Amino acid sequence: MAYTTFNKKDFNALNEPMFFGENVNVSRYDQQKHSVFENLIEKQLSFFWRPEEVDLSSDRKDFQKLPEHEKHIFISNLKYQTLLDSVQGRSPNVAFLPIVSIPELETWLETWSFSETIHSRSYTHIIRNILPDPSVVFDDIVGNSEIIKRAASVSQYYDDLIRMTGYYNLLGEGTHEVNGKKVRVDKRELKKLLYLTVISVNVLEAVRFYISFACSFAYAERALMEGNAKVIKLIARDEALHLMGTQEMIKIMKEGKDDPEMAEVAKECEGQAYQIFIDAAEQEKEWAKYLFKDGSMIGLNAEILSQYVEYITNTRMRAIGLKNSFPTVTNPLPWMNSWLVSDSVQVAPQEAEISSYLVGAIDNEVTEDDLNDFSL
Amino acid sequence: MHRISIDNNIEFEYGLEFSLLDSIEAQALDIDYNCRAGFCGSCKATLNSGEVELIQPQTPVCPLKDDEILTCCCRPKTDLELQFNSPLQKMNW
Repeated sequence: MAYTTFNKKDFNALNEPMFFGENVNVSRYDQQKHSVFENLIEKQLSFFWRPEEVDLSSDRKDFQKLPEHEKHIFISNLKYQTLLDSVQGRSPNVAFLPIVSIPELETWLETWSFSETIHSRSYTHIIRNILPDPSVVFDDIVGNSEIIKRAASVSQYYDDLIRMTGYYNLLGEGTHEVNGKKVRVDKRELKKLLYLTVISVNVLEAVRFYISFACSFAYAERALMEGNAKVIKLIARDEALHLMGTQEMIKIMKEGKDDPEMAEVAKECEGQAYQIFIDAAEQEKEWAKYLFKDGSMIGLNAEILSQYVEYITNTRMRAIGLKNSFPTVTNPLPWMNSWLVSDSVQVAPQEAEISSYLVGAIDNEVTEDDLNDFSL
Repeated sequence: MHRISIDNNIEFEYGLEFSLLDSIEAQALDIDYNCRAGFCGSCKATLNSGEVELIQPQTPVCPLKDDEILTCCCRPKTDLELQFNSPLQKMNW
């Protein structure tokens, strides 16, 4: 079935599944099949911000004083985030809009993607502020093998889905000859690709982004690059909404209420979904080693960041009904939490630092026996 | 200090953590969370008895029922009895 920008059929969108039903026609929001997406749109709009609102003048001075290996960590991290948001600023639109069937989800996808473009713009704002020539950062994104390795894994599922739905919308189901090659278009296979793509997007936003956030907040915990941390805090607030969007999509798919076949597909793909999380976590651990290859920074090193990868991966897997897969069960970076709370919470920075330090450092189980090895 | 009882089978004492969510995490219970800022609703619980005070505004994306609270947004004011949609498990490895 060919995609149409305005479906002239008379049908009730409340009876349509999220994807692969009728093409949408009237963008109406007075009624919703899944009100969660309407609520997400409202919330995202209320979160609107612009990077220029954040003053980065002290970050420039801070950056110049950073030792070389910390500059490497900061810049590499920004490059990675730029890559992730370049993908996210376009891909939900290109991949999901041609197959979406309910208007509130369609608008959520557009609102979501748009907010990612604000994130991309904020990286330019940050880089322009700390470096005289931003090109040295941007030009290296496609030339850096570590970044390109990640680009392949974050875009792979999107690209497969976009290619196959392209055939589906143009040629319909069946076996077709395209450029001399046989292509089989099967709706169930498309649904599998869709499910795995949503899982991989969830991993991108719920796991991969948070590794970068940890690094940005680690500088600010030392009162360095605080403007950057403010921007990242706003980005983290948006990402919490976005990952909620993909978690909700996954839950609805698994329940199969609006498309029973999707529940079967989700069950069939459980092993693959599990593997997507594990593979991403392993890649992020490798990335942590690359970040800290020339030295670590106060409060963060490759090992602690890897434990955080395990912890956050476990948390995100549980949220969509997959079992824990890593041994780390508690948060090795408890100070991260204070960067996620609402801006209305007034915490004196020095107070936040001290209490976070205590959370991680004090062992309440210490007894006199533990001191036996000491002698005067 | 206030006692917190969860799903009728877990009980512990509130240790002055920033939020109820933090105090539940400190017990190594597998509570869901996402935003920690009062809008995603992942950490919500039913408050069966007791009183809480807000430490940050609750502005959930999906409305809460009258007896539901977001554990990231409040701390105990009295002893509490909480219940979660899916019972919390102690994380042991």
